[in-house]
Amino acid sequence: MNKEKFETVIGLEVHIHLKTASKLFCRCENIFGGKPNSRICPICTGQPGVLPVINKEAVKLAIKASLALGCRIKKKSVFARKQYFYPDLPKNYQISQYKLPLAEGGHVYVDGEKINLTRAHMEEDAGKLKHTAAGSLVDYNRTGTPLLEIVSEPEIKSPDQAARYLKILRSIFRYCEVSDCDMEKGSMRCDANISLRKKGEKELGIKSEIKNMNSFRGVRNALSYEVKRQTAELEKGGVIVQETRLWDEKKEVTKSMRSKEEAHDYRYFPEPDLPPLEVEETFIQSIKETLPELPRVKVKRYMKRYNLSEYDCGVLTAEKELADFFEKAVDGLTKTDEATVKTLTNWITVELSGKLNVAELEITRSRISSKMIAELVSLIEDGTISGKMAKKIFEIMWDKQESPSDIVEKEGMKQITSDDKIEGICKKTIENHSKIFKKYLSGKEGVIGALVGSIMKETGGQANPQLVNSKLRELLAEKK
Amino acid sequence: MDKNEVEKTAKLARLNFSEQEEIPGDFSRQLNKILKYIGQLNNLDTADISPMSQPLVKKLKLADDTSREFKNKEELANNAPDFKDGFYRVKKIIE
Ligand SMILES: [Zn+2]
Repeated sequence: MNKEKFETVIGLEVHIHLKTASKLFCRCENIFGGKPNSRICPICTGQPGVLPVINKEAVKLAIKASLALGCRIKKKSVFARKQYFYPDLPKNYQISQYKLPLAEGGHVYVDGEKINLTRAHMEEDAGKLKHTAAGSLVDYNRTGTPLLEIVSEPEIKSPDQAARYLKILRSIFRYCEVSDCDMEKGSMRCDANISLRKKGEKELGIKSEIKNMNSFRGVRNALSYEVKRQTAELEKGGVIVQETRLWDEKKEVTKSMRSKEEAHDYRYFPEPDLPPLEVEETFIQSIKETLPELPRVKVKRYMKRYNLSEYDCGVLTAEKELADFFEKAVDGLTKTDEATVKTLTNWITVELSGKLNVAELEITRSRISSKMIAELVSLIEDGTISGKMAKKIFEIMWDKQESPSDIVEKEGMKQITSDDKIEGICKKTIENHSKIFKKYLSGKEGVIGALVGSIMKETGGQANPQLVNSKLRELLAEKK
Repeated sequence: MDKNEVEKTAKLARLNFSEQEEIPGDFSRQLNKILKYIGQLNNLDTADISPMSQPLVKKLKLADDTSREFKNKEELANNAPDFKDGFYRVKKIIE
């Protein structure tokens, strides 16, 4: 691709389901799935004469999420009717916020780059359609689920960055416990506006709007496809048509929806059934106090406190549960110097995460507790066991859920560190390997590795390799 | 508001005038009268008045977040033109 010529400009509209017990305007239960049309009532099915009543918890969660993004909460916001005809929306309009949204501004840091936000507003979700040969089937269970829509400025520069932005939003919202942000279940969804422009140009190019991206991978692939498509079009001198395109995950292409222009003429007007939403400063403050330490702040704290790399801290803090696990494990260490915490970090982010991935378990359901892993690391750091032994013990810990010190005891896995013992073993080995010894005498010092290997094998990995190494050198030097 | 705008708005609102040709013209005349009447407001100085989105003076009431099942779902199904096997049915939509 002609990377020097064009630059990519992406803006994202992200919808998240707010984790309330009931829907936004009625008291039907708000949970995922269930028997079709089992959680509906006159309000969410749009029967004539019904009135919507806003869920206070939904307002709280929307404000909490917005505060976590650094948005300004508007003291007064207004709900509006967005009108369109589609069977997933029984009222023929969606109650949303238009001119006066709940929140404005805010920003998210994506790998050190600041992405500004335009706004965040509340709205209700629509139902689900299933297309069959006999007709389209509608399930209104999801209708009326409270949503927060977060609109970014067109400041995202690549498909990769778009996916990272989404992951960071998910992390923040999960920390705040406002949403599960599960893209597979649709509790986090994303539409993108994407355009290209000549490098250095200020004005935005003509954009296409991409819908139907149902995973982080889908977002990255759909936008990458779109960059290629638009680049090819512009390079052959064509123009981009402003339109909505659907991502086809199987064929890995975006396709024009060929939607009629009128689809975008929503004729918004203020919702007559709802007075403006007014929130007081004390209410906002009380919500602000419930905000947890957010991942970005946590990363900085870990870097400063433990001198860990930004990458390590990013991995440890991506999910709140993992960060909690790490902090508990640190509390369980006998020493918390930088080296020990680094060892712990590696065991958590490499060994344990690997196990959890294979077993498809969340950290909260780990078979190895934070206490157990802290104990293992402490045993490594005080020299009781070697790294190699630790790996064996780790396997047993995972399988049998026993504590590492019990395993060390039972399996007799203590590392041999006594000077006398090691000297004895080394002497015997030199005697038993006279050929290697002769090679050593002839100047091939590298053969010492073979002697160490033989000792490690004989002792079942229990001899401390550093001690063996230095003891061998000492003994061999004497014999030279 | 000319005839074309009336026709477009009608189409967006799913109002069907197509068989009675003279109606869009009638609507256009009537709507223009109404708009002219309302338009008098444009002559007022509203610089210091904040926009109103709602004529009601009532404050918004918020509901507690407790879920309650609506029992009479059968009635909801009966209200629909076509409800079968747990689903509302509409004619096939091709995306
Ligand atoms: Zn309902």
